[in-house]
Amino acid sequence: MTVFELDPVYWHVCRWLVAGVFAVALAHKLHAPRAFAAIVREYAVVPDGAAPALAALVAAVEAGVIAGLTSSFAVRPGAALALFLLAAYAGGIALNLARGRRHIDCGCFGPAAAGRHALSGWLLLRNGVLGIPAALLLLPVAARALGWLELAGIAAATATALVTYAAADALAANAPRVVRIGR
Amino acid sequence: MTALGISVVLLWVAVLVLAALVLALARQVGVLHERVLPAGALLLGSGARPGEAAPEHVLKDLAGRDVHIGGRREDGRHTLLFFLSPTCPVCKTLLPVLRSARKAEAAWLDIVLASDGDLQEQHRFVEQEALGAFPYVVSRDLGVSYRVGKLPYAYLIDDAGVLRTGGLVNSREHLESVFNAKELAVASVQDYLQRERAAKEHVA
Repeated sequence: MTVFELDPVYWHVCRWLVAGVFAVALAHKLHAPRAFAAIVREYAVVPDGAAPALAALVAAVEAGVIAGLTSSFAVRPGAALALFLLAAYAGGIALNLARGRRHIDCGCFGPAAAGRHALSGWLLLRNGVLGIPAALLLLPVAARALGWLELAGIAAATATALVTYAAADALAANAPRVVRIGR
Repeated sequence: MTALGISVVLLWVAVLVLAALVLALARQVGVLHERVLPAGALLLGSGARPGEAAPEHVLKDLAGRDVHIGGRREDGRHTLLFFLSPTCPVCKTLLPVLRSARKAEAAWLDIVLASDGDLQEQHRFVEQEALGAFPYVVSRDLGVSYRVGKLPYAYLIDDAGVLRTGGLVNSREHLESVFNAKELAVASVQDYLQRERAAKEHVA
């Protein structure tokens, strides 16, 4: 019986892409921990008093994701943790969209982007798309030696994916302003 | 290195550069949005202030119809009082905006044009610019009671007879800002900017 095995090139791209996205997100959160706690409070998923603790927990789990994905032995647990976080964020966003609290800041990249990114359905789509590489990392990976061209391809593809992700995020942040002008 | 290898490297370089350009463009759009401040009607120090009761007037327009300005309105409609003059070139550039606003905002808004000066000249102006659809009042007292010093000047009066917003309007954007101010419940562009600033400081 043949088991589907992911080619190591795809595997590495997924791994570094997810690690990179979480690293940027965590860096923003650590940069302004109090503002991030305020954003968590706005989500209103825990009592106000517990928000700083939840914010710290989220940052710690993100650190765990990065540590797992960049290590040589815990990539799969790291990917599982990343999937769990993405699902939890999507749940928080969907809950607040359902409550009609669209105005609150998503805090996605931490408070450095505060006031810039209101909640929208796009964020759910984004979390879903990010979940794909995280889920692929749970597959078994083929054992195969990589040449220099493949290593360069991994680096270039990861960089391209990260830059494209940032561009899509910037466009999504601009969207409400464009709508305002278009009226 | 094989030809395939070379072309793959070249393609990756091209893709990376293009992705970086897209990111730079997206960010520039964001910066432009930040820089372009909301253009708005400028509230002059001398004019009547938002929140004040609008001075009440009952006047006859050029067609002889009664026009009631200010005071409580039972039908819940707002009034845009637009001060203009046949001799003011900027006012003329805004007439198409007023015509489209009359249709677009017809559900909640009446537009009243107000002027001052020689009656014959006013009649000619109304005819030339085809303003027959608007109530057009000529009254010096009206301008004085609203303390209008510069033209074109506009006030939005709500159904309770209170001045909601107003100011000097020099462009389509300024006039639209008067409607936006009603939607956003802010008194003027200064008020809006002040709130934005306060909100930003609050976050920081």
